[in-house]
Amino acid sequence: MASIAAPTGGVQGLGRRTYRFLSAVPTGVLWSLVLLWFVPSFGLLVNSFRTRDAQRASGWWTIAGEGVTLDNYLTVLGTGVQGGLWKATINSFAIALPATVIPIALAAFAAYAFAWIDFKGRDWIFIGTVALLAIPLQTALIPLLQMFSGGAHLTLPLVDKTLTVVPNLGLAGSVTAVWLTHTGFALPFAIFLLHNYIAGLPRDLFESARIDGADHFTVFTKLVLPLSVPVIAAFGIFQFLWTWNDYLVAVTMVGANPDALPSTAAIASLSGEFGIYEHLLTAGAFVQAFVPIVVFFALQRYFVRGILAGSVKG
Amino acid sequence: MAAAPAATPSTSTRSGPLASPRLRVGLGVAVLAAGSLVVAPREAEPLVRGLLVRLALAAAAATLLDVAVRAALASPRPPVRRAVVAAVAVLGPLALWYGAMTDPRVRAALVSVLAAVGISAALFVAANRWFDLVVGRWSRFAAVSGAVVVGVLALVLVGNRHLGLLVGPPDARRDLSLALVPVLAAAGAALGWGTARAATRRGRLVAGAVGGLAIGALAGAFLRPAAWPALRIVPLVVSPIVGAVVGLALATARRRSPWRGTVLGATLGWLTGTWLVPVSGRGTSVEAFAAAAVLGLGVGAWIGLGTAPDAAARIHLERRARVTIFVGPALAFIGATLLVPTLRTVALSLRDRRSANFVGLANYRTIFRDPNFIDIGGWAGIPGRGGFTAFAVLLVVALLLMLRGRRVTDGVWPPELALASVGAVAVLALTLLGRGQDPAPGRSLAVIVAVVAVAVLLVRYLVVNRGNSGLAGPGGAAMGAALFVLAFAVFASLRGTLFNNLWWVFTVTVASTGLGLAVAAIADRSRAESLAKSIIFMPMAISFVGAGIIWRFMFIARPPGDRQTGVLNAAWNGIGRLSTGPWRVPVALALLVAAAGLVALALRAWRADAGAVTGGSLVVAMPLVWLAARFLGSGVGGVRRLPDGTLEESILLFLQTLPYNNVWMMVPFTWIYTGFSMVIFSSAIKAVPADLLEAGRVDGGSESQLFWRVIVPEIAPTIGVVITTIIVVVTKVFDIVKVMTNGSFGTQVLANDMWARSFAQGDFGQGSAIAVMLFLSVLPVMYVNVRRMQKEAR
Repeated sequence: MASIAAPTGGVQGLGRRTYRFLSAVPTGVLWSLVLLWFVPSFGLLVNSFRTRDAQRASGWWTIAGEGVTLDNYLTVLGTGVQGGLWKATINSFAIALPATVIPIALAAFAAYAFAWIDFKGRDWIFIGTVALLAIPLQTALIPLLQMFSGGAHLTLPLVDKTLTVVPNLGLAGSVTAVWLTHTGFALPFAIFLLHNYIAGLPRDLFESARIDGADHFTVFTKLVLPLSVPVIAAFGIFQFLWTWNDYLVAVTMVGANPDALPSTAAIASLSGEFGIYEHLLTAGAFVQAFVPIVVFFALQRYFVRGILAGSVKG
Repeated sequence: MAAAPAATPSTSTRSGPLASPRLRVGLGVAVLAAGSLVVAPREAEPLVRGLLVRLALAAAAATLLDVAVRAALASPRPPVRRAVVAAVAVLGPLALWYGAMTDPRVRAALVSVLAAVGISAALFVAANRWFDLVVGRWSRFAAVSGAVVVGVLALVLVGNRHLGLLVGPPDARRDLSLALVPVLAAAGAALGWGTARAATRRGRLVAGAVGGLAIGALAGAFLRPAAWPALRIVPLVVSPIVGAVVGLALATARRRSPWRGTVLGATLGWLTGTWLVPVSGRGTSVEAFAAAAVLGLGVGAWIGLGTAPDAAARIHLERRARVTIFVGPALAFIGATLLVPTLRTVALSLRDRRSANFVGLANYRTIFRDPNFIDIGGWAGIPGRGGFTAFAVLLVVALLLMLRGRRVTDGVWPPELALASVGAVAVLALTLLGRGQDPAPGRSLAVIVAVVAVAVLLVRYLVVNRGNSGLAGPGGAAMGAALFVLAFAVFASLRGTLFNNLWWVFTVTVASTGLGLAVAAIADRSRAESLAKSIIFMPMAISFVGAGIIWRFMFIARPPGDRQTGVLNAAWNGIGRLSTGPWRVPVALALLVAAAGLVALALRAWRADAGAVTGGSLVVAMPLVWLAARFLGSGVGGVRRLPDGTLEESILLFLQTLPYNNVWMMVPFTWIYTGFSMVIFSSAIKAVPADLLEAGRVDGGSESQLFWRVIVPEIAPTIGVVITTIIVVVTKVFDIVKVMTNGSFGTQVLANDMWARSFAQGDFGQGSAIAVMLFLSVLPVMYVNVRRMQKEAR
């Protein structure tokens, strides 16, 4: 860190050549970091094309001169191991799609109201909602799991009657339980993000629309939604990747049900028997990361925007 | 964030048959629906349902295709990227559709998504349309409201498993009792319509009373026998009277209509006297009928006594309803899946493992007495750690640099700083004297007292000289490094889940923030900036599980003597071979030459008053000298030369060796989150006003001074945001630990401990207690965030 600071103030004292040497130091540091960041995933990618014996006998950098094989990918995608990663990938879609679409819809309504409808206690409700951003998922896991596996019941005091607030829908071990949980936990962030954007839309737009006699519903669907496409895309990508990459909710809600296991949980259970499956794990990790990496490279702009908007307002 | 231009479809400038989106989507639906019959022959499912599902999926896929392709074509991108995006936009929806057609599980998932979205959208639109009626068409609104309220109430009474109060005729099937719902809803609609249309007050009262009586009687006739109340004369008389009096008093106090208050009170009293006080299920059908009818009559009369709202009140109602419609669903969802479960967790943490009995704080007590959770037994070993020696050295260096900086600027030696330096030298001496001895508590105490004294002096000095403390200079950097290694020495000695978690938070936050800031600052405006940033940012797309697996392969250790297949152990072994092989003397000499060059550079820089270069060169030179010494001696790394001349190979068991296995697991996390902080800092640095930087340059500031004196203060709020965000994320670290060690070898963290206790050991009490602790530990950060947002809102 200290060597980054190559002061020009001392140039004369240090000499031109020394200064040139010093000013190359930060760039050198940068590219060594880049290399360090690149090697782990690159090594894994190379290894995924090598046989088990080759992987155990030598490091990935010896691949030159060896044959490459797709066997690891074929095995891991097929049904041979842990129910197959193909099935798990489909489950990941079944979780990530609703967990992305539904929060967007609910949060867009709420964000619009928080931004453009005046009502009593608006600021406090908004701040309260956004404050929930910081609640750790862990804090809600046990009651949520109980609700999904048995419904929620409220025993009235005094009269000793039990009310079923939420019926037992038999959601334990299903993908529905996973995406419902994600939806609830995504909402504060989604509302926060969309509110920042929607509140920044020009006021004149709304006033002229209101003068033309449009009600809030019309304004929302005809004006706000089309204008909010960039922020919705940003949040959508962020949320899609977040739910795709989640492990905690999946492993808690799905448990050991192999029919609903998403891809993260599938490779994690492969990793649990590292010695047996290490060669497949290389391919498995890349199959799991394939969709996020495609999204990352294709839509990097929105991806960055989602992360930026989520942290820094403005 | 400026309002980006709305996606302008490139087709809008084009005319032709595909210009209309409706036509395009319609065509797509037709093609896909026809295709679905080819791709997936109809199975043994009901004809209508199969066709409907096909049609719905075709419509969804066609719409998605249209939107995605239009978005892909509309955005200005380089051609290659654009082609990739367009391909994803075309293939993605088609692949989804094909998957749905051929795999029943994909189909089920997509249908449930479509159903959820469709039903929610329909409810949202319907609710908006419902309250559209408020201002212009009051009576229609009243009718719809009556139907909705009574219908929902009936649905709850029929459908609720525990209540199940309303049933059809004796022994009727469930769907027959469900048929009651529309009938009751229609009666509700009539009630609403009647009260709204009635011209006079009396008319309204009559309409309300008759409607309410009808609904009550209807419901009472179909009550389940278990809900038949046994009417007792005392509660039947007393509680309505009490209710009426209370209602009258409240209404008078709040200056509302006394009649309405009385009727409402009496009705609630009746409800209490009939169902709530006596035990249900002992009465007769006649009693049930009468009780329900009177209840309905009371409610109806209460509605009928109300006055129709005037125009202003309707507008007010409309607005409030609209807010509820817009905000309600999200808040309800948050309440059900976030807020209520959180409160329930707090309650569960006070109950035993199966949540059966209240146990007070016993769970917390058990956890805090668990040596695996908190173990401070190792405190006496802190001064004996190498990290502590490094701390003492760095402290002396930092103080020297600070002293020099102060003497250069002010020409004086500040007394606090001089005293602190003496203390620091004492710490260093004590540490070096005691190296290699058994940790003696007495000596440890002396060292720790010395550290505290130095810290107090320093803090005092820094507070006195706020603003010109030299903290931003090289002295500050050395001080930061000193505190960092001190934290390592402390965390390596204090063991247990809690300290592990603190160590995680400290290290990952400092490392990812620092590295991200460094990369953002160096890469800014450099060549290949976007390539470097893309590579560092890419891990953000990888899951924690994936990162854990990727780094497991980096850390892999084969038995000593075998070829190492992990990069790190291979490098370790390679250095070992180099340091014991034939090249060791030349390499050592080269290292010494390099170190000598660095020392010479440091001396020149010292004279040129470039403190950072001095410090940096010395910091790099010291390990070079050490390395050269080891090359000439017994070797370094994975191969050592034993005294008898034989070579011995060793490996690094990254994940098994306490306590630094914790640090190795923090590496993947830092690997991911450095990209996060880098991206944010990068955009913040680019947002620093150019004239500010220009002014700094004109004043003759060096690049490093610009960075520390202009850029860092300018982006300080962003640094705060990044730090708080990372703290929250790291506090909850789970996946990496679960995948890499599952908490064994002394690497447990709070989130994994919580998971293990609740779901592996089945102790919901202790699991909830740890969840509550997690919550409490992010609470201060949450407070900071909320305060910040409040400030921004103003």
